[in-house]
Amino acid sequence: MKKLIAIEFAKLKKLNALRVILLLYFVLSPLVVYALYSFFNTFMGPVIELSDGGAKWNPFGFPDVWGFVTWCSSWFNVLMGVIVIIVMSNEYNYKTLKQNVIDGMSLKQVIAGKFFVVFILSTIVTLYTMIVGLAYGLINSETADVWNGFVEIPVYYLQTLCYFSFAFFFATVVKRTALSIIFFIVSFIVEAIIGGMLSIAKLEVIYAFFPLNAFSKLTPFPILKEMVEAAQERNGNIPFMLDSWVNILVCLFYMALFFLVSLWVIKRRDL
Amino acid sequence: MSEVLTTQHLRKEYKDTVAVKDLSITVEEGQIFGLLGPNGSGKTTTLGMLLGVIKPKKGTFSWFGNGQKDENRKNIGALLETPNFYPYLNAVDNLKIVAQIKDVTGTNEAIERVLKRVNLWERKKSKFKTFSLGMKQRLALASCMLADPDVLVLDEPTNGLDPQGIAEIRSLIMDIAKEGKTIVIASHLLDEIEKMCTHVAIMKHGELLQVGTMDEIMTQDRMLMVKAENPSKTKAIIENTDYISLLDEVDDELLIAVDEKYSNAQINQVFAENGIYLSGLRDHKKNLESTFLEIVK
Repeated sequence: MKKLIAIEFAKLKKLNALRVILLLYFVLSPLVVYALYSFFNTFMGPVIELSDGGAKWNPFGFPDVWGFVTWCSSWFNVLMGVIVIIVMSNEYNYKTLKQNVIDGMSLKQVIAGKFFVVFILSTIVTLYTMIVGLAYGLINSETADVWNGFVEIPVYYLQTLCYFSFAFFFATVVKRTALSIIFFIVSFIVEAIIGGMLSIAKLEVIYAFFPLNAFSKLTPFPILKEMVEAAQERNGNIPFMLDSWVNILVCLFYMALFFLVSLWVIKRRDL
Repeated sequence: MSEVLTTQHLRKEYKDTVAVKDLSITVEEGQIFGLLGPNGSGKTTTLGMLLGVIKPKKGTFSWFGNGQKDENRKNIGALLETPNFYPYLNAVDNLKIVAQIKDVTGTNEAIERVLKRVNLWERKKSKFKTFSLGMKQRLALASCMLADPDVLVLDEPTNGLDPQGIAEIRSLIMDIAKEGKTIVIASHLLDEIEKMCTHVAIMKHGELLQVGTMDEIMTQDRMLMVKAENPSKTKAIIENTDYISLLDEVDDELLIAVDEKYSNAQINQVFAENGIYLSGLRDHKKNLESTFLEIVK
């Protein structure tokens, strides 16, 4: 395992696309969190006043900060998914996956190496999000009740893995970098359109089981539930949301499916 | 000599095309084994199967009497089709990855040794994408030699190179061969194979037509160059005669292979009896190219 990680690190340490996207993520992520907070604070006071048990929603204080930063960071998962696509499809484009096998790696080792990259990337992104949340929380909270609401962080970790499994799947099946990225991004749009059509047809329950929708609901907008309930009180119409645990199970299923299909495709075809 | 490679009834199919048909060959230690064949004859597919990147439909192969274990390939330096490296990494960084995969000890010394050998030491910090095709091929050879393997597998190592590049690569391969390493090489350049190889296998449409030592392969029918006024009628006579076959047309002469039993006078007589009076008939010195043409005709 150590050797595989060392090989993958040697491959990626000078990959400019990875450096640029990670840098963008590290710089933009906390800025976006701050910008969104300012936006809500300035323009959406009434929304923020929608309280949870009578306490004012404070996106920068514990425990709300965890939900807020993970929701903000989840926007970057598409960008990070692009990294996964680049890392995997480069190996096809440069024919280095084939060369690695020729040089003596087993197909299992090659695949395991790529899975490690995905897991490490997810870990980095999650740790960074946690640090951002922690920093904002410590600065803006009167009490350092760090662990309250911290469950959002492991859920966010699962979400990054889910999106990355989806990106990995496209890179493996399509092999071409640009095409994989296009398919990856277009799939979000296509699923949203289908979701809209299903909602019009009063079939939201089906849409709730769609992969990207399920992934996004892992870190929903923090007071979405309250907003939905308020909307329900007004006109009795409530969008369908799966119970959190059911949603996690649905996401785990899709993540396993995308990884297993990718594995099957790699094993089945010639390099 | 011990067997380095054996294949038994190796077969590969792509939908309705048979790329390799029941290939059974043996390569022994120290041999320089040439794999010859026209485009689409199955050479690269064969090497791809032997190197673990193409799955055979049927049959087996074994390296070093050790089956198809992935570990075997660490003792093989291989270049299949094109040099495959990370374009954004320099020569040293690319070779470090290969060294890690192959568990090379003393990586830095090994990299220096092979880069100096292929004359790329001065460009060790240059990115792979800035290399010319010849330099890329040389880096691929350096990568092949990095773990000091017992076997080299080279697929068209001079493909796309200019004459100087071809000479450089050929000279490198000849040097490596002198070290007693076993080399399996597929090439279009018959002149190159003739100069280097001890053994040859000739393939066509995925089928093994001939295999043996260079001498065995070259001891085929003898060859003649014939010249006549009416080439089309001459060709028709050749087609209708069992022991004569047309190999090639060279300017206004025809290169033919004839059964060793028949003398030049008898050949001349065959044409004369059919109304063709040859204006030229001379022995043709055999080389691998003419032998190859005769075998794959």
